[in-house]
Amino acid sequence: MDNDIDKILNSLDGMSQATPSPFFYNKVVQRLDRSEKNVWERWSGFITRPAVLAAGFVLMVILNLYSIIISVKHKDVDQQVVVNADDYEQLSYGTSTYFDYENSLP
Amino acid sequence: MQETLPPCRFKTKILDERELIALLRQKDDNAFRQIVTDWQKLVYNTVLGLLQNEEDAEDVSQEVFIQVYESVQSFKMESKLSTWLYRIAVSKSIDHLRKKKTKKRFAFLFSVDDHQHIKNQVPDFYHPGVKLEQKEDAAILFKAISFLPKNQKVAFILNKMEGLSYTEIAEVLLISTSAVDSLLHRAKKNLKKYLSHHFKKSVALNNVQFK
Repeated sequence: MDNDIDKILNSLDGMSQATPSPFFYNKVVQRLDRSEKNVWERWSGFITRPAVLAAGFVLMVILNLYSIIISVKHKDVDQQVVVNADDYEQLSYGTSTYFDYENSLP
Repeated sequence: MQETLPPCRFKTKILDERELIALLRQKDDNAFRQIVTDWQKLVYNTVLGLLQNEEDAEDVSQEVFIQVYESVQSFKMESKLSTWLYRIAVSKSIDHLRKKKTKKRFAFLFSVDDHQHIKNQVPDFYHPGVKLEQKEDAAILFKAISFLPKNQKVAFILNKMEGLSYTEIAEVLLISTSAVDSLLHRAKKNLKKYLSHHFKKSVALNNVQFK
């Protein structure tokens, strides 16, 4: 069996080189022209890769979450400002200020 | 290398690699034609050995030259042009094999056949350059090679088919010469293991047929 194995292992000895099909250069140039023209196709091919799509989706979810959190925080601050303004109004009813023209008497 | 490579001819003037690369950087069509003409056999045979499919080898070889044209600006000329070409050919072939393997892995989703059957299916490959009397033996060897791990396969093909020395393989794979030695040793060991299993199986099959 060892002889058979060695025979198979040496079966590539003395082999000649294979030749690509004729007009190989022309085919390369054709493909090169096509690939140069189709930059947009390559770009769209990159964008539609599953990994890129998934990364884009995750980024969109993160941005949405971020904007929701920010808007909720702003809402809280706005409510606080409204409450403060009401307090101020209530305070200012009983107080005469320099600009309280109607109630000019002390 | 098995075959001495022809010097680069260019408009009746013999150019060295540096001049040719410099012209290619300026997108010179004639320089590109010269490179493709002079090195197509080297690239095609390397890719064919790794992919074991003539159509795929032609396709990937074309991709290799497109990559050469597009990335010649980044070639620093620290290695020989042939080393760079081997490197691109090997990496493109490995990419192709990986994509094919992934396709096969998902093929069972669309197939009504047993997926294990598809996964283990490796078609016989008859290399056009092998002598007629050795074609059957070479086909068995190519099947065994297809089961080798990636790096062992590349080292074996570069050594056995392209006739590269250990130092040249080390330059292509960017590893040490001792690592190449180890890769080739393990490749031969694995091939022997596969072939002895193959013979035992065929002997057992013959015995069953005789009974």
